Amino acid sequence: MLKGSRREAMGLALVTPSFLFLLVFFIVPAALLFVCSFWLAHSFRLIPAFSFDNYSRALSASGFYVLTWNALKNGLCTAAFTVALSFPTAYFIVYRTRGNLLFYLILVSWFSSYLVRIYAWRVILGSNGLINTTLMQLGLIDHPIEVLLFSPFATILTLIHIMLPFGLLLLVSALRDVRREYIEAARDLGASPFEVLTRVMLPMCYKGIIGAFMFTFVISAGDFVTPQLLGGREGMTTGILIANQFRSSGNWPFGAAMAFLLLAAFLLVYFVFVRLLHLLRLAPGRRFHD
Amino acid sequence: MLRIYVWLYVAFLYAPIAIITLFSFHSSPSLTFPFEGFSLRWYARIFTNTTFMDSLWNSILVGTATAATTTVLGSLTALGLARLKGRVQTLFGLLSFGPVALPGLFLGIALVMLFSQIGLARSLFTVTIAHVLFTLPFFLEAVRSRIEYFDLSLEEAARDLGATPAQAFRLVTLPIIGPTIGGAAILSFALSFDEFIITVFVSGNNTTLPLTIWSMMRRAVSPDINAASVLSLSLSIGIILLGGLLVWYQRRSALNARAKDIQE
Amino acid sequence: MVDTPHGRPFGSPNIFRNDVLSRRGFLGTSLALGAGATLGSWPGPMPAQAAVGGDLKIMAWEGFTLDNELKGWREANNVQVDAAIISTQDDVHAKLIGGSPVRLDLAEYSQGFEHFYVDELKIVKPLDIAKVPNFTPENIQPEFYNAPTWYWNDTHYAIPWVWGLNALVYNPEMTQPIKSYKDLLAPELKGKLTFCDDTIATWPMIARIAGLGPKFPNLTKDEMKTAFEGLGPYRDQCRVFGSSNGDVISLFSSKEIAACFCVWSGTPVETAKRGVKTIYAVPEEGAVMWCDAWFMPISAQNMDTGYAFMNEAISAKVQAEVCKAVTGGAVNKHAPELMDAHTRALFDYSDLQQVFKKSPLQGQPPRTSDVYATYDEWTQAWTDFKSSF
Repeated sequence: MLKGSRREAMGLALVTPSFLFLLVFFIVPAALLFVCSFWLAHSFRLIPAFSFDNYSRALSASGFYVLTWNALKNGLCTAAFTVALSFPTAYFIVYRTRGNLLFYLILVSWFSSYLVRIYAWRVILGSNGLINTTLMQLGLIDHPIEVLLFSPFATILTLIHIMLPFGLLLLVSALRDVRREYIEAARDLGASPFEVLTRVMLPMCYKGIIGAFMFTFVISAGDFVTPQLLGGREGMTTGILIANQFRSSGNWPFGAAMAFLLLAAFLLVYFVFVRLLHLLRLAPGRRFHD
Repeated sequence: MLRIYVWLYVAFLYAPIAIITLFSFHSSPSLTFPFEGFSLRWYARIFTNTTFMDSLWNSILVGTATAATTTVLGSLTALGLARLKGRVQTLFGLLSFGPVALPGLFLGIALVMLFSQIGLARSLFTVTIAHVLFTLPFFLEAVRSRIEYFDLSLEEAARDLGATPAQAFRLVTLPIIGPTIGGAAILSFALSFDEFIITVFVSGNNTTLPLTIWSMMRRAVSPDINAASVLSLSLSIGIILLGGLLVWYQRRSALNARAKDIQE
Repeated sequence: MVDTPHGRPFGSPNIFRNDVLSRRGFLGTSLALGAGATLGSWPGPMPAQAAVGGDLKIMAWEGFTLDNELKGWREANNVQVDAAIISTQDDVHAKLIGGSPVRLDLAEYSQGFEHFYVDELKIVKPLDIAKVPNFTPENIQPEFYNAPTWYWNDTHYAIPWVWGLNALVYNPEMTQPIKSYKDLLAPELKGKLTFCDDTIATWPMIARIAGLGPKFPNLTKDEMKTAFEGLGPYRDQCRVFGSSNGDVISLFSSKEIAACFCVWSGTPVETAKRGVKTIYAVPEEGAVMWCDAWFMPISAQNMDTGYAFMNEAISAKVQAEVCKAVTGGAVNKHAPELMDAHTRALFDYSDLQQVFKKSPLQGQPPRTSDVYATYDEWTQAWTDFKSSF
């Protein structure tokens, strides 16, 4: 008991610096902005008020829904594919390799500028790009496949490419805690590989999967540069609406209101995703927590 | 099977980077096939471009400061969280997730409001604050599961055996969580180095590399942006190798020290 | 070159000048920490009165920082220029609004931003034109000198320096010659058209196509709606929006598009470097003129060097060089003589009046109005247009 409270006190002391940092640079500004979302504004001049105008204006514009749907779609597809594609690789790194070379090789790919990578995908996917030229030279197609570029496909593919190393990092970190012995024990008890995966591994790294999914989701759904450069006509997302308010129109309160609405949509996705994992029985039941 | 998959995965990651690298040596300003020939002109161009070199240096500064600050704050927090239980832990966990739950530009603008309220002029310092805020949740997420399962009793056993808290940390905790923290620190550097959306708002006169690349791209897209990307990639690899060497060296001396302790 | 004394007089840095004090006062709530940081960010010795030299903080578009053109001048006067790059005009006021504006000695604004910057945001210092001796009716083209874009109420707010025309650009291999905007609706251009996401440079053309050109920027809400509805068929031809000039150039170079609605006149020069021939055409509807001007932000400190910099920027020699570099037009009458044939041929300097008549320098929609569609509403309509609701 004594040891426990010493532990707690030490714990509190250790989190204090971050807490102060987050208090000053996150909670206070976010609160300022939340208050601001009820204000009115006129080209960069804020008028203190208490009004729901900004929220009702955003919710009554059909455009807001379409763009938010685009953003959520990008985010969900990217997150799902990133986690699904990275999981086998994370498994390989954790259980089949000794050194960290492969792991670092993958992480390093992240250091090439993300803006530049967007243009590299154009070179690959374009009408006269690598894929189309190759396919045409092989005689497999007569006309370039135009839907490769400037489509949701291009956006999501690129976002997956950007997020993969990141998802991998989080999954590797989560899988490192599923000790080999547990897996071996499950196998010895006659579990099939599928059962090992769904009954042992997934429930044990459940938080890591949620983390990887949510971080990937939030970043890719909030991105508005990639969709704009690669998404073609359907390439607009809510981010650009918000950015417009802050940068050119100067209606910060309206932008803040839209940002909070987007946050609400993100939270909804979070709860749905967690619920889904529970329904699929991939989340740990009570037995792991007690 | 799995091995083939993993190599395909790596190939997918590196294919665009191979293209970027190839075109950074292109003799023509075009970024499309056919490839016409090799030249170093784009590297020459960025090396002589003072705006570019300044922003590269600024990005390195900010990235390093961000990684260092985030690592200190994040490691303390992670170790603290491992000692906390129940509601406090959940609440703080949620709080630390906050900065990335909001769209990036939201953070940028919220910080600008704060900075103008307290009269803090925008500079690389404010960029660093914003980047720490942005990277901290990632750092915590990357080390969290490692630390959550970290057996605190190991550290406490060391304390019971007479080690000071610092010794217990250095000799017991660090070797266990060190590699994870190293990875997370690199992650923080990478996130900061490539951050664009928040930086637009919180930067002062000194621009960072992504901002410079963005403005270069707005006028005309040339292979100079590829050269910039390849250069920063090579620099990062260099930094990571250096960091890896340091970690390796430290670990070796820690092992030696421990061996010596045991002998005595 | 203007005669300026070199070196700086001695004396304590005058950080308690009134304007500084009033700015600090404006912060009101400034904490000790914040104020300290603000003080700390000031460079050591303050630039003295009537002395050129020291560091000059400017904010300009990529390619417009006079990095090469003013090399000699910088060395002769011991000036270090520290340039921040503008990606969109919004970057400039983003730095200057709020309680703690970033120090900038000079920055650029495009046409249309003058009243917004001067009257609404109040981020512009009036200029003492006597300190820019090159800015005289003898040197500057009359259409630019004292235009209402930078001069009103007997006050100069900015110095115009480079201009250009945005109009149609097309790839002759992929389409018939385009003489009018209607030609963009040809079936062969389906999925081959792009718009450049440059609002101020595109809106006037949207109004003009609807026959409302002369009224721009003051269109009623209904007129604006009509104008955007008329643009529907063009949108259906469109494959993607170019996010900037650079993006449009890259789209032309990879032959993803055959034509761009309204874009920078320098586009063909850049695509030619990338092996794709494109043609810049001013169709019968005219083009959209832009002009960038230097202004002195409220946070300017090294003002004398700022004035000297502007004075150099509009000298004939520098104008000729920068116009070649950015494929732009000069405001200095004597610059065309010094240009190479290609740069001179970009615009009809012999009859600028006609150029102005066909492609007037127009402002931007009002920020507030009960009668006309506001800037906000235009932005909204443009966003809706881009996402086709």
